[in-house]
Amino acid sequence: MSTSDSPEYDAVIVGAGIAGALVAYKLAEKGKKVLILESGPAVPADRSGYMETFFTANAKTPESPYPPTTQNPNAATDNNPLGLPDPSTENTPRYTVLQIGAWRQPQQCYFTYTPQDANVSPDSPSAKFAFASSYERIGGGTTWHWLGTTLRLFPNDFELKTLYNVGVDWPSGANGNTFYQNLVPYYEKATHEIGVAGDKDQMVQLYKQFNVSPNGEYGVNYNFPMPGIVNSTVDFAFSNSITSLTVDGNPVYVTSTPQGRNSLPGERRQCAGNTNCIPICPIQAKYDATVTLAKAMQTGNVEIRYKTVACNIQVNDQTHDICGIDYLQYTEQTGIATGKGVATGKIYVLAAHAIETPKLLLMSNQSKSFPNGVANSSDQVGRNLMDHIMYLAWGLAKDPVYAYRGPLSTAGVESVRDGDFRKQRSAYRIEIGNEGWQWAANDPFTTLADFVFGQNTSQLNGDSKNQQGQPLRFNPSLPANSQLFGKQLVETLNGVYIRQLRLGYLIEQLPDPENRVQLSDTEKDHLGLPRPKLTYRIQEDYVRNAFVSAKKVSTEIFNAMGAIEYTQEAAAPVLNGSPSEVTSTNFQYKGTNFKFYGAGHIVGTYRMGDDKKTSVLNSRQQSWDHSNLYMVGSGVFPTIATGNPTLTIAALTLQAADNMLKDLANA
Amino acid sequence: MNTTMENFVGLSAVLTGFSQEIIAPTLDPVDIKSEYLKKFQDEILKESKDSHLVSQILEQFSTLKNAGKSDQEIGEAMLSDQNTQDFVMACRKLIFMWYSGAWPTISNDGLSTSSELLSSKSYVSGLAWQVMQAHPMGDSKYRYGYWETAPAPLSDYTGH
Amino acid sequence: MNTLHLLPCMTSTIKATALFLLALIVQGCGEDSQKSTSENKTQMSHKMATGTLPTLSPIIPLEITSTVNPPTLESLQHDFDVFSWQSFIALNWPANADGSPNTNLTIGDQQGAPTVWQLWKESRDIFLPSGKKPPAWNQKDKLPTACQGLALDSLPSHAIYLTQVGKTPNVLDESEEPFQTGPLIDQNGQYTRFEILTNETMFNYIVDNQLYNKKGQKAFAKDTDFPSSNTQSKTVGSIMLKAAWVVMGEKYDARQFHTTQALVYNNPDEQPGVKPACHLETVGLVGFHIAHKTQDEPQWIWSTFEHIANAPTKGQPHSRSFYNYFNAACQDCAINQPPPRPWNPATPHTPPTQVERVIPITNEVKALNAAYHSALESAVAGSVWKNYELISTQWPTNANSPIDPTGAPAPSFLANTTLETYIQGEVPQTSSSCIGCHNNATTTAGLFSDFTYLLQRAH
Repeated sequence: MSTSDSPEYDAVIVGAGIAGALVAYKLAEKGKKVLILESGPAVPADRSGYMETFFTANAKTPESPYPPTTQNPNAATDNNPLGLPDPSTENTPRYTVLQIGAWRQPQQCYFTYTPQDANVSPDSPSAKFAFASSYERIGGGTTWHWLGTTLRLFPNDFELKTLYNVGVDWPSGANGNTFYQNLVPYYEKATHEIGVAGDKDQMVQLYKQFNVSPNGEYGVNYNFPMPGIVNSTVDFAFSNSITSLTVDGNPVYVTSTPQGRNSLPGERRQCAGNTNCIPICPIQAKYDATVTLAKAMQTGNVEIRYKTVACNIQVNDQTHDICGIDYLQYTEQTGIATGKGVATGKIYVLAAHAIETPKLLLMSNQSKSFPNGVANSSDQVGRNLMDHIMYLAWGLAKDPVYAYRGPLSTAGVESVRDGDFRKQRSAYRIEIGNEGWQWAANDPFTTLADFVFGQNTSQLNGDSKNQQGQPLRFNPSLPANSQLFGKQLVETLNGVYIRQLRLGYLIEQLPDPENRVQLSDTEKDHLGLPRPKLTYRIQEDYVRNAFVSAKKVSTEIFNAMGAIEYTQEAAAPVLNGSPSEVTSTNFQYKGTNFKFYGAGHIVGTYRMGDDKKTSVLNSRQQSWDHSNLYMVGSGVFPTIATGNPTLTIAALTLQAADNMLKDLANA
Repeated sequence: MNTTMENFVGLSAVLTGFSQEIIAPTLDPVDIKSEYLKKFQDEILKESKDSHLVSQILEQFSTLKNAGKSDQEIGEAMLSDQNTQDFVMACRKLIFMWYSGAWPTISNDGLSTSSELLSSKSYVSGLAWQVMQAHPMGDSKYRYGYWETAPAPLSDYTGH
Repeated sequence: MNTLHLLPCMTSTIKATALFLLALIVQGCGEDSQKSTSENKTQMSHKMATGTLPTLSPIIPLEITSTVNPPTLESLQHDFDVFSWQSFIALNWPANADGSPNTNLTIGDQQGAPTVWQLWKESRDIFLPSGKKPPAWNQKDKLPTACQGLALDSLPSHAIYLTQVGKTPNVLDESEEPFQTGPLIDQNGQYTRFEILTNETMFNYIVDNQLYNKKGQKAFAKDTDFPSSNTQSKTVGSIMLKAAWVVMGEKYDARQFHTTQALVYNNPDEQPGVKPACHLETVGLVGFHIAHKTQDEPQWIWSTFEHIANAPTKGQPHSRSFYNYFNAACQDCAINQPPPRPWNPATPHTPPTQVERVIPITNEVKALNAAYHSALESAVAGSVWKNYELISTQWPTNANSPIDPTGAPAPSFLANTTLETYIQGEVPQTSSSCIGCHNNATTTAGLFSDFTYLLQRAH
């Protein structure tokens, strides 16, 4: 075991994802000496290792390419059919999509959960669910498996409380500007750092609709560094047929999605449409944080320590300044700790995403002045956990749309993201999927098995009816449970696959202080650190109303297209029962059963605010309690808003980096 | 007199509905057929405990083929319930393997299927990606913007 | 029904020898290199085969010569490998001042003299920072400022710049690496240097279509289609080359390498922090790619050669006491890992890269290499070219596939340990495959650039 006698750095950063990498780069570019502590392994020189793991993974979940292994089929048992590894044997376990179904089984699931109340009714607002989104603990962070969507938030997203009397507002701005006005220049910078391909004209149309500015320009230099990624044949099927619809007074039209992937070759290759942004872009046409991390390392001012897990933040009880971060090191994922030390710097930056960051703060409870954890005088650390909870809808188009081609999503319906309806229900954006029923129904394999073995899991090969009562057998001239071969198999599978449609609604969850990350009292990881304990509900009818809306709108969209809807009604929730019986993300509302999915957007657990009693950070992203402690990443968001978070994470981080540089200059 | 591999590829083509030139071209740098034949032999022996079943299947195919039967007739005869359940299930699993690159397991109630991939090579060789006129997710050989227009006709993918 | 071949990938030594003997004679028959599957030729081959060495010719082959009818994957691989060796010989033939092969000499004469390809056009002389029309075929652009202060009067006329460090400079270009995976460090702790060149056909196409700058590429507004070699008109099509060089001195014995004098230039455009600097050095050839667009191979034919002492093969016993990129004494050196950033070729000493070859050279290629080494030795005793070996040739097995623009390449993966050091392997999309990667190459306008990343260098 080695102990640290490390020199003092200007900044010590925890986490080498997009937020940590951006801070490191911006500080190091100005000559500051930076140390990054990253819990996971180094960025590999060649992504072949991750790709091989992905190719051979039976369940190609977002986390499947990355360590530690998500699934070991050879370890499957009756009680653990997926062969999920025991998180207590791993030094950097993380939550994965495969663990959702095992959420009540700590031997298989990294998160632990507070118990369900007894006899909860299926539609109870206090029903607890599994969290539905995941993240990575590796160099480069969760951007390894992000989709690449780089939408800006609308000004109204920052003022939910003022405008619609729900949720909270983001902090007020400085220098006479609103918060969003101060953020606009950083949106510009983030757009260039990520390298966004976008169609300006289409965004201008949207910004005009929502009155962002009279001419639709979002900032003085508003444009994208690259032309928009071309739309898919699937997108055209929607855009050509749904413009007669309205949703709560908003027109419905398809907008090309600004995306962090190359429409032109740059330092990385042009997108080749591998249809695999999640879990992994094989050719790195999609931006990920390893790009920025490499630029940071190239300055020569950044040191990074991998397999180094921050485990305690030291506080000077006199000044309340942070004075060091304790860490543990390991060599093998399931091996013993091989080192420990203390990292010291002038400022400290937590960038470990919205689960691990609050976990670290709560673990750091040695200070007499902060017995509830560092930066937690407000008791807000870990609270207000949010995600874009998703409603999925899928169907079969009348004519071929040729799914499974192009980036996973190239367009969506953005025109319904804001409006007076936000007083009654959550807003959402609608993402159009190019991946057929891969997410919705694990195709192509489900439909394949159905027609080879005479099964009906897809509802295409039996007597299933959809929720509107339409028969779903793909070919009515074939008997139910057909087992096909040869030409008929080819024609049937082709006919199905090339017509598959999928919509995803990213529903704005509200901040709920009871939705929170705490520390497990009993469960630990292999380093002996406590694992997260979550409480996660959808208490508000406001949010549940958006599911009702999404369901209705999906049916209207599919009808307008002449498509048959295949969205399966969710199974009835089982809230009380044995760990293997309970459902994980099913709820009932107004007599309908719903299942929600995760968007991978983990938000809110160390939020900014104007009041130190109700927020963890001020609008500079600086701890109210410790002047030399900053936090970045989506945990700072007061609300989750209506756009995918990464561009806003990047913009806020760049803004925070400027604040840090000012502080370092004044120090 | 056909070899085991010739019969295996011939049977696979009939059952999958793809041409031999697509699933096992004359010049075949990928050579997925060898991996599949071995897997087929190993798994069918393991599942049926019948060391003759695979050769019986291939011989029956050979007989039908040599008798000049059409692909449709051969397929129907191979999957007919005149054959044993193990015989027919082996043929269906063979179809599934060619399409998915994975070996299937049917649930006890018969209502669902799980499967295990053989290799990265088998995953990207799956005919499911061809039959949808696309490409394996994660392995496109097409170029930027191909998704803006319709793909080549199905016949180019199946070889029929 | 097609006959399915059941030969395993690795044929026996006897089989390899037979193929080798066939090859010898075909080479002897045809410098015109017309593609032929004639039964007669094959029979004749058998009669004339015994004891004949491959002919060494300064003529670049225009197409492969098929030696077996009907051809098999193995027979065609052999034919493409022969094509590679014929190309290598012709390109490394001693050159006249005008760049033509000096037919008064043979390959290996006048060691260190410029070879035919060394007078081809370097990429830095095609894509000028100003975007201006490049100088004519036989003229150079002006030297980088840092090189101008050197005593260039003493330079031999064939001195070259080696302006590239690392696999991918700061733009994704025609190098084989899809990512900025890093520099390759030699046993003296110095950065390996790279250069990219085109032949005159390819250069003329770029100039004629004004593809040398972004504006011209935008105006071109269609997919690039470089000219192919044509056996009817006997015209040489487009050929591009990439070479890797190690700076001589200390651990490197210049007599073991094809050497040249070069201006080794640290290019500030490569990475932030690199300062322009220039040194006149003797450098030795360690890696060499040839890509040749032919009539029947629109995906190009990709040949790759290396110095024989570059690196041992993973899992095989070490056959040498010294490797250019491997130190047997280092037990805990990580294999095929680039150095950590920052990357800067001015770094006085960087720990050497520990390189292993991941995909072994086949026995068939080894036999072919031995035959060509014999012929080279027979032509010039002690020829330095005996120190170079073919790794393999990648070619499309189904060039006109309507659904696969890569034409189902064989072998599926191919890497040079000095040019694709860090992406060797057999994982689809990410491991080195010449055709697979170059299939994604485009112009700065985002249109298909015909399997070369070169056009992305335009300003």
